[in-house]
Amino acid sequence: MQAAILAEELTKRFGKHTAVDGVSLTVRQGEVFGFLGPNGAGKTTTIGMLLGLVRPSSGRAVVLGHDVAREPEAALRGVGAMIEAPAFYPYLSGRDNLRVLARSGGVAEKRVDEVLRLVELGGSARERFRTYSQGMRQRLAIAAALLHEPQLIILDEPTNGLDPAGQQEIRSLIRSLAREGRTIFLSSHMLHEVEQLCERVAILKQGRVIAEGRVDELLRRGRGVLVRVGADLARAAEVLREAPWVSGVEERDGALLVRAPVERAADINALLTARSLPVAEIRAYEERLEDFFLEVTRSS
Amino acid sequence: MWNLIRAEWLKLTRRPIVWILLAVFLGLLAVQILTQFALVSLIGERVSSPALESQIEEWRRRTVFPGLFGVVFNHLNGLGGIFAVVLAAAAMGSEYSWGTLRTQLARQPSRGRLLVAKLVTLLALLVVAALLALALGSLLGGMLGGLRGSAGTVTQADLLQLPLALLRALYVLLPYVLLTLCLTVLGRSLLVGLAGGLLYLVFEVGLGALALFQVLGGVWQLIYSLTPGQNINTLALMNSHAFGLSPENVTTMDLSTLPSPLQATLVIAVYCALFLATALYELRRRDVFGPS
Repeated sequence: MQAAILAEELTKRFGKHTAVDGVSLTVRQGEVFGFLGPNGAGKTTTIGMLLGLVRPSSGRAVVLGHDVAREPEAALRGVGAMIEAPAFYPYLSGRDNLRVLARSGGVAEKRVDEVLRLVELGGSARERFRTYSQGMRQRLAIAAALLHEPQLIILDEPTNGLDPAGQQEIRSLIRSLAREGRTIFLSSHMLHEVEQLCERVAILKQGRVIAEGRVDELLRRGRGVLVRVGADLARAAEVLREAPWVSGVEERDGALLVRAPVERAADINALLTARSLPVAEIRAYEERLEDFFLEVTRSS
Repeated sequence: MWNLIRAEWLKLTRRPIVWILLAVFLGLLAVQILTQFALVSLIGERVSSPALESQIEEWRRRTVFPGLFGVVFNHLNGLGGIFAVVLAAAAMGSEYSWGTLRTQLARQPSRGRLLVAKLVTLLALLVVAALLALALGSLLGGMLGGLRGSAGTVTQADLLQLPLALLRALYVLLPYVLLTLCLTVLGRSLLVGLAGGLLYLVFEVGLGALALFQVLGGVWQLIYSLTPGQNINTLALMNSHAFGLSPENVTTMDLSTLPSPLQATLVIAVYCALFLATALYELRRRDVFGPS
């Protein structure tokens, strides 16, 4: 199946500064793909290159089967995007802002009211954009991205500024869009959100992809047994490393994360007790995306 | 393209500054017509100097038909130029300052078409302004003519001149609009476009001082004849002549040395092509980011 997004060695330099450094990505059609990275990692610049807004210094972006640089109109015809802070005409109402986009994209204006209802902005559609709260602006930006019923939806921090209930509504909306078979490219710093919504993720740091894969596979690497011992953490780690079924031991918040099958918990306890290292706590440990993110962005 | 023009029209016509500028433009036209009428009525009868007679007669022609049409087109090419610069800077520059250019181009990536749609919409708005100015001028001319007992006459030939004069007036405004769009794109800023466009207008007036080049003759005279102002004046003067006005009688400028209409048309076309090509090239070449 043709990829919804194919980025090949995308690089963007601003003078001597390399903002994006050889990013290669494949986003399959119909999947929800998470794009993570600390502030300034190059996420928005990469999105800019995928949308033809930023010209790559080298590499290429193919969206929905079309090269963005060579056939921008064909590439973006089926793409709806919301990039960073929502930007609209402040003197126009929310509805008129969408009418502008509908007209320029050749979309029937009746669709405007449909998407406004979808993001629950119908009641304030005739108020000027400048009077909108941050949450309303986010919703309007999402409505704009959905206006022409795109096949691929690129969302950059879609729940930014929304209250918890609003965040939940937007996540439900993203889920329902994914169920309709649309591809979602979700850039977010809200890791629990990405963990809930995305099947695959790529993590960007200083312009480079430092990890990419299925969320469950990435997190499987972080599964193990968490052991808290009363004293001498270093010696306990040394003892555990000797066991052939332990693939690694690392300190995590004053405890030891032992990379070993959970079924070995009793063996770990026996091993430590035999060496006079009393165990205060032992339990199965499953890494969260947040832990994984912090681990890879710190280490690489 | 039609869809883009409709979108630009919606943006432009919903913008308060457009209606404020239009109101000021029409208000100042009314003030000009009423002032001319008052001056001609009060002073015209009392001056007996033969030297001033031709000037008084010119002012009188400006208060009756068809001269009033010439006044309207002069107003469009004079003060209208300033408003066209402000409108063009606002239409393009705000897209940068609000970050809406990125929203637009993420939806419709043809930057060239977007710029052309903006240009067409601005020109369409200038046509509306010109038609409203003509309507206001005709209304005031009729009312004032009623007070004086004669509003002049409008022949079929005068009416046929109107569309041609309108085209000339728009053509004269085109370099101002394009230069402003070009500077706005180059500076990615409303302020740069606005300041640049207005400075150009001031500079153009300043170029009048370069009339000295004509005295030097040769290549200097040629350079002077290729300046935008000289060529714009040629077409503006044609609009005055088309409605029986003779600005030569009321100006100290030597209008006899203006370039030919053919040269004026070609030189303005070259300037327009240069400004448009630069704007298109820069808009296509540059990266588009969020609000500036």
